[in-house]
Amino acid sequence: MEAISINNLSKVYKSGKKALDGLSLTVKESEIFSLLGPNGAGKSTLINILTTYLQPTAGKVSIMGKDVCTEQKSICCLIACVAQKESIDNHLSLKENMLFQSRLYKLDTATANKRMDALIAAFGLKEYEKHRIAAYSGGIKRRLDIAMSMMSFPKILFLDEPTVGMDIESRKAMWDIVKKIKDDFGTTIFLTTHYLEEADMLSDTVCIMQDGHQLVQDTPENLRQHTHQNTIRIDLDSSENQRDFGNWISDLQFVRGIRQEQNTVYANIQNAAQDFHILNQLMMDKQIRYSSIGIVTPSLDDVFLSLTQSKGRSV
Amino acid sequence: METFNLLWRSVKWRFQNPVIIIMTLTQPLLWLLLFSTIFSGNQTNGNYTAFILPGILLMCVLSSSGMSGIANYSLKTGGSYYRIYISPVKKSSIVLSHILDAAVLSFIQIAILMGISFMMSVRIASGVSGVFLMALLLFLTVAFVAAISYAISHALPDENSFIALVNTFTLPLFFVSSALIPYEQIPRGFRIPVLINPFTHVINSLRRFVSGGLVDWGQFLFTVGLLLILCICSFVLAIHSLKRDSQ
Repeated sequence: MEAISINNLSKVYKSGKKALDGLSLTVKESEIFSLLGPNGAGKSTLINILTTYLQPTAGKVSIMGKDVCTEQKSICCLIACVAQKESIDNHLSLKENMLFQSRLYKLDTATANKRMDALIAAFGLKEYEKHRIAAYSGGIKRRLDIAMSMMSFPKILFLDEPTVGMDIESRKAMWDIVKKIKDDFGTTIFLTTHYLEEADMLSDTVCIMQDGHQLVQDTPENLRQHTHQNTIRIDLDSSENQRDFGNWISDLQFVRGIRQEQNTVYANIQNAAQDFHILNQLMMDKQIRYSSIGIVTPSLDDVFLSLTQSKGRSV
Repeated sequence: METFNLLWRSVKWRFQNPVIIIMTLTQPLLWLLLFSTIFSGNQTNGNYTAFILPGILLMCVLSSSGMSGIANYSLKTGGSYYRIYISPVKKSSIVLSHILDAAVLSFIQIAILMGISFMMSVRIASGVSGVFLMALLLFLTVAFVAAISYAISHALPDENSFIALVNTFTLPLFFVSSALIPYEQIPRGFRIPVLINPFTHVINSLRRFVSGGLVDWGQFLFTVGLLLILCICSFVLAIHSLKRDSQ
């Protein structure tokens, strides 16, 4: 069964801004689905529609087979969302926050207490039970935020950029929690993120969107095939001016986009077999100093840049 | 049940932040203490504190319930507003819990003002039953003002414009009423706006309970009816503004 089905969805705000433009996608039950896109792509608008906060302008959206426009009440009981903004109440204790959430979803006291104990244990929050919420670190607060959202045992959990602003250790802890939610509770997870590494590591399916519509939706492995053999990696000598080189290579006709990491430049090109030799020759002619050059299997970063930049150029 | 869950959360916050209770109480308290002394050589019969008390109680309701909507701005800054909005809780319960929270704040202040008035020799002439009927009138006034305040907070973009608008209306509504001067002594030209002001009728009814002795049931029922209509209209408006906010 499809957990989420979106068909030709559009959203135009009263200001006239078109946030979503004919978006179509599907999310399978019990999978981790990641939504990627640059700022302003329409990710937050989409989450707001899926969580019944916003009404769509046009198109059909169903959650667990229920229509978001006509069956909001039923959908509210099936979903939970951890928004970007922290939603826990600092004036309540950890347990009070969780019990407040349980009463929003009309759970009886016995069930609420049972679930609360299970979630506190599963999310490693036991040691923080006695502390004041205001004293929690950002990572622990976010963990509690997710635990609260799990109190209703939602069929679908929306996570809007759950690791934004976290250090790497907290991010890794969060990834474990996301996997745990999927494995232990069978919850479908709909995730938005800016971290491609995160989407690559966690997701069963990745969707990249731009300008309010979907560019591509597939598994991370299949997505990498999109630019397979079409990325060239160049390791520059440290003496080479990277900015000048970046400008020069970007201006080449066959280069669709570049990504720079210190002395390494990844260039997305149209035809690796043909363009590799041309690029190599051009660099030698220009006497650019580099230690290695080769065709590489692209990362999800390359796929993202390839898709969003080629789209940007064509506009 | 869901209303009381939301109310429990708000009240818990309120008692951890008593400074809000004190801040909104300051102005009515100063009026009660200073003006009742300054204007004690009055044109009214008897105790001027007893005369001014209904107006001060109304001012208390206007300042505390009128400002109650400001809480929405801080709620929206965090994620808890969104979390509650997308939960299965009815929108009417969200508005009702807001009204009840405003009532808790207002009635704490009303109790303090009544206690101080008692110490200033004010006695409620209509007895215990009069106190309950006064509470009913004040609760309906709180409900009306808090629901309007809630609707305004969804219509205006930030706290500054909200405070400016509420302040623009609060004091004129207080002055263009019978809060400080008996209706009969108000200059003729001002009587029409004073009569149109619904709070004039609330003050007059409260005043009958405080000092009138015999209850004017006609006036009381008219005021209750008027407030009920205003409450229903403002409640519907508040729910509409809450739903519209997400569009």
